[in-house]
Amino acid sequence: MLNILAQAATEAGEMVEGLKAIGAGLGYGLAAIGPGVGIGTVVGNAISSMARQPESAGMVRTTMFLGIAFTEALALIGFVVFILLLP
Amino acid sequence: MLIKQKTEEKIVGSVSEQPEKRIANHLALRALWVSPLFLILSAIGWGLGGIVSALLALILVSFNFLAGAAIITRTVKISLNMLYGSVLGGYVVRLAILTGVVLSVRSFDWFKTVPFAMTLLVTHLGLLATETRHISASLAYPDLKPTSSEEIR
Repeated sequence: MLNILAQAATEAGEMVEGLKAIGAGLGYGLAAIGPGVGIGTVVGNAISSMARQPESAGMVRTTMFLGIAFTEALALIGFVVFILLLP
Repeated sequence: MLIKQKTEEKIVGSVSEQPEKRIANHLALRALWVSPLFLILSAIGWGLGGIVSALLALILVSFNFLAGAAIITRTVKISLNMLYGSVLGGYVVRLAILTGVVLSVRSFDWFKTVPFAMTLLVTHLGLLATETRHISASLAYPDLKPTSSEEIR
């Protein structure tokens, strides 16, 4: 009886580790979707601005680069959570 | 087609230097300046492993900025469609590189997750906030800044 309980406890522990890994991967994947959409919006609008006003391309590129970098910070937060959760 | 070509030529021609490259170089340089602070903090808390982990995070943050800027600089000369595709593709590739590097080193004893994560996030956000402040203070991106009073109307 004790052997069966010990085996069940070991299997439950392994399952928890597995679920942690699945949760970490899922969380990272979901966290990367938002910045992907955000970067698409930033670059799309920047391209639109550059096409309408080519003379302001430099300023638009500066703002675009900073916008991309700020949006990427969200993905990095997801990445940090991923490495902290990973068993 | 001709209008599109002319517009793209104008865009490329209107920018004397690549602003994103300059910003990325500036960010990397600032990362170098603030690195002793993070290295000392990591050394106090986690020892040699903490130093190496914080150093790895600083290198990855700098690489991320420089690679992002290089992609924009290279592709804006080709076409705007290429820029769009490359920035989105580059985002995925850069995240994959970051994940690959960390997953390959995390099994080593010297890798400490907490100093790495702390340095990665704080440096990325801190450097960006400082750079935004720096750019906003000049009220124009460096290449558009008026050089003489005649240019100001």
